[in-house]
Amino acid sequence: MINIRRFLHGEVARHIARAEGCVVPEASRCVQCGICSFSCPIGIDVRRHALKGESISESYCLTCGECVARCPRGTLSFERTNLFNPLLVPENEV
Amino acid sequence: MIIGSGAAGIAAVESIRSQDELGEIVLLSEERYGYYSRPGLAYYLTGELNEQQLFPYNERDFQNLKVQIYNAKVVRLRPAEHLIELHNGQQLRFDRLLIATGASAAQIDVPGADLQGVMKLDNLDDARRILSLTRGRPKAVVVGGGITALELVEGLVARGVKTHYFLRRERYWHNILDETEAQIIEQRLMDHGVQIHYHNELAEVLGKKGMVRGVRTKNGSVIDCRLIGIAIGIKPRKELAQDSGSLEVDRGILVDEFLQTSARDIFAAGDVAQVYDPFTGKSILDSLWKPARDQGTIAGLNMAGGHHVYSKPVAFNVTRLAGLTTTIIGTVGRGGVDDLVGIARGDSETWRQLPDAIAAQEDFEINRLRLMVGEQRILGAIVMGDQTLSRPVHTLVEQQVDITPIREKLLQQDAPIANLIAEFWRQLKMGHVPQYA
Repeated sequence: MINIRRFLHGEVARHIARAEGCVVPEASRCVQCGICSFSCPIGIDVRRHALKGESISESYCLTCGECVARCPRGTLSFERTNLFNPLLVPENEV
Repeated sequence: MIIGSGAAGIAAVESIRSQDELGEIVLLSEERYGYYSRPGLAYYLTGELNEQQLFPYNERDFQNLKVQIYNAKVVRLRPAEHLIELHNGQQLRFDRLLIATGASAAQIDVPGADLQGVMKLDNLDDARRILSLTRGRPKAVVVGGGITALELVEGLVARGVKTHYFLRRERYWHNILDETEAQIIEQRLMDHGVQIHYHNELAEVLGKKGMVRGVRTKNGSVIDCRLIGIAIGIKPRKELAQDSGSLEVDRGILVDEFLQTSARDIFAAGDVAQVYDPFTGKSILDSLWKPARDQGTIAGLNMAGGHHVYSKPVAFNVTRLAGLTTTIIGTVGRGGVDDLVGIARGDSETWRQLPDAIAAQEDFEINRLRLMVGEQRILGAIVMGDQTLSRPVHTLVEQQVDITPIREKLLQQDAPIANLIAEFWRQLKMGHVPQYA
């Protein structure tokens, strides 16, 4: 049985993460398989960023989450964008 | 000069070039496709990516690295003369050499193993052949207890192939996973129609006109199949060094902490290198992607005149087991390698060193966290499914953080270890806990 309240809360949280965040790689998990780049609907070479440990700073990234969801090794995650220095990889918080 | 175009070889090219803009770099590769993501082959099999996507670098990347790449087989190494000989008789001189020849899949020694349809997953050609064999949706048998065997099973199932999976023991990857973890994986495989045969081994491959037609198992049963996937371990490709007569070789090519072999100006890195660890005094094999890249980088720096030590990091690998992202950190296993031939692809011997630790674990719906708790620190961990705690746990293991404040709580029966670790991590980041043991 789906808990509607919990489901909606999760959806809203997910939407906020996507709207306010950017995709950040953890380079040590990446094996350059390329699923991330392959699944990007607008052709961003996500793998190249992952290899260098750089966040996806392209302003046209849709933050659709395809690369995050499809990476088989959990390399990518959303993190809140640093408004004052968008190129800076935000520190991962638990 | 670099022999081998895998992760270690390419990392070495990059690091040499980072130090030396003009020096000549020659890369010799037996692999006709050059550099591609070997771990990506598993996802090529499942259909999650196409073949083109396996290649991370394009021609321009290699032009920028100013590296001359030749598709050639090196047949002889003459260390004293700084010479190598190619398959066509050509001789090439090197100033410094890196052997990064990797490892190849171990062959199974049973009658009929040479029949067409007995496959391994070593390279792109293997993946292509497997895919072409799956077109008729034949029945398949997979043999092996590690990551590659599971990749074969998953790839075959994704292609609609009815798959029988043979395990030599009572569970999957018995020397790394515990009973519950193995059960989670096995149940997920069975849910997808995989028929698991426990305590079962291949006795003979049955064939007709040179093609696989079935297998006979050691307990006497016969299973009809057209494809057999074998992943029972890997063997470092050390023959070049061994046959040269002057390089010290054990299970791999022995190198010191600078990744230098026993011969002057010759280095080795990646799956083929058996690296000396000054802290434990042992030389061990790692067949993981990240250490291969790190070793290639250090070897490259040293070939360019540097004097850098390769510090073996805490063993760390992320993989996907039956659809569950799984991170293996530090020492987690029970020792022994008897299920596999030496070492498997995507495997580190460190995992199997017997830990002086007690396991603390917590199960969620399909997620699981297991910690190997030592006297003062966490020695290893397996994080299955949700990976939120993976990075904190990795840091706690790697930086040998003193966990005394939560140790007792972690070891209590039914302790909420995920919450304890998350809270400890939060406190640690706020500077409230002494950091190092």
